[in-house]
Amino acid sequence: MSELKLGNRLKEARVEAGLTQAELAMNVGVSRKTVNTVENGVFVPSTTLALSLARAFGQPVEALFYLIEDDGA
Amino acid sequence: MVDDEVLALARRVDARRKVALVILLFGLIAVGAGLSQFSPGDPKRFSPLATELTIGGGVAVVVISFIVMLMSRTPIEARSGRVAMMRAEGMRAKRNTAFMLMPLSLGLMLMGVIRSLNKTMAGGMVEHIEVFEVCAFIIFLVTFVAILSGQGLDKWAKPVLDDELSRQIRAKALGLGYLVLAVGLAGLVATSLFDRTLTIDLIPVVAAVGVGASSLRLFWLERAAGGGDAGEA
Repeated sequence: MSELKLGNRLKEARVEAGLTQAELAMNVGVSRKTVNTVENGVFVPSTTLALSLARAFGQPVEALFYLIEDDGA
Repeated sequence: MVDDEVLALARRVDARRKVALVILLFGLIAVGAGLSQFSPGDPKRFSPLATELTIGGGVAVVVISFIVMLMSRTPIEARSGRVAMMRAEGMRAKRNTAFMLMPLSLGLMLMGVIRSLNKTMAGGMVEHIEVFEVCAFIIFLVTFVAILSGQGLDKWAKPVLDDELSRQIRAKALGLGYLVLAVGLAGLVATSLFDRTLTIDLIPVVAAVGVGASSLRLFWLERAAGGGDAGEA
């Protein structure tokens, strides 16, 4: 059975905006480690944090986050 | 003031507060040593004058260092914005080192605590130093649990030290500690059927292993969450 995972384009958006992880973290009001783990897909952010990150880039949340179907293969 | 100046000022205030905290702890130790003289049983004790001086001196040190801590107010500019974030990130790294060292300090105290409990179970008299050792172990254990569960964080540091990731990591670490404690307590119940002295001896071991497992898990998870562009900030 396939499992849904969360993918993101956070790193691309951040680099495009010319921000470091620490600067983005400060804009959103979280730790740099949180930004790092979200970028790496280690940490799944809450809806509030996902929307805050999207707002920081002026993009809709779907532009940053998307679902990946993982069939375990 | 520019950010670097605010940061330097905040570091000086933090250093003063830390020194006052260490002196305060020494004061508390003196008060504890004095108060332990009133525990019954042990005929060896300080003279009344020495006891009064120890408690009085300890209380004076505690009061003075507490006043110094209250007066060491961090500048308001260092409690918000970029400087607050930088200070909180620095604090996070120090807290992680503390998580790594917690099991070591509990382990060192365990030897004295087990010896004291073992002696009491064998019918020996409780000495003042043993009351002191056991109380110190309990205080450290409770303090470590409070730190691990994120109690007492400054409001300005919460966006970094109490954000979503931190709370998730803490929950995982405390979950492991709870599991270790539950298994340990089940083991103690089983052991009590056969050997009560051993059961009493093992109580502080189970408590220390439970808290130690949480702190090491927290250290490991915090470390694993690092990396990225930390050097660029």
